[in-house]
Amino acid sequence: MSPTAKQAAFSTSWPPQKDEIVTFESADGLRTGVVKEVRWGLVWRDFILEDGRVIPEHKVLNHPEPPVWRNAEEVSQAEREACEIRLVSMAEAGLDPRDKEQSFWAELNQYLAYTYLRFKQSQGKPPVTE
Amino acid sequence: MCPSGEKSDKQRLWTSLLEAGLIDIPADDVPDRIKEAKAVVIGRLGELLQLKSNVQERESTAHSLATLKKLETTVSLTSKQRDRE
Repeated sequence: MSPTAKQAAFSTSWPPQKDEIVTFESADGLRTGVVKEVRWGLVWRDFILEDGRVIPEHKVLNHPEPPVWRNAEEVSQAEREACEIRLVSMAEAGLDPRDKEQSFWAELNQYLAYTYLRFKQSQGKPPVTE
Repeated sequence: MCPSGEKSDKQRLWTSLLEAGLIDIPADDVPDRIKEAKAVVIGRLGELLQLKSNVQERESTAHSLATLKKLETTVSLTSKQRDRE
């Protein structure tokens, strides 16, 4: 679906709800899609579209600046481990992380960003209790 | 509404993620980013081992390192297979 200038400039309350059309930046320009679900990842929100594409909030037009995101400390051990299990499972299933806008790439991208924030911030600090 | 200090703190972290190339990882850079993340985790694990305290954090860090190693291996194999096709 190719957006028109009118659609791209259209803005609604944030975040967009299920069944709303969003415009986002893609490798081949601006694209649009229908929101199926908005889901928090380890760092930022992802927009899952009806066609299966997963678009990070900061790629969607009219997102808040700076984008809304979570602190690494807000992620529980259970949530992190569940994400790690999903990632290994997707990798072992042979999914290619180079397929952008697909769930494996999206979740791996967030996991790496989260890992960077989690450990870069804690380097040189005394251990923390979770 | 968040305090301005918190906002600028988030902005700073966002900028550091951007500079580390972790906001929107280009398809071909995924293996390199996994390697870099592994290096950061190894650094922290080394610190924790020296401190010899907080077993829980050490274990969860080791678990994350194991995950990254598995991802590195499988992603590398998948990429090679895709390149051959």
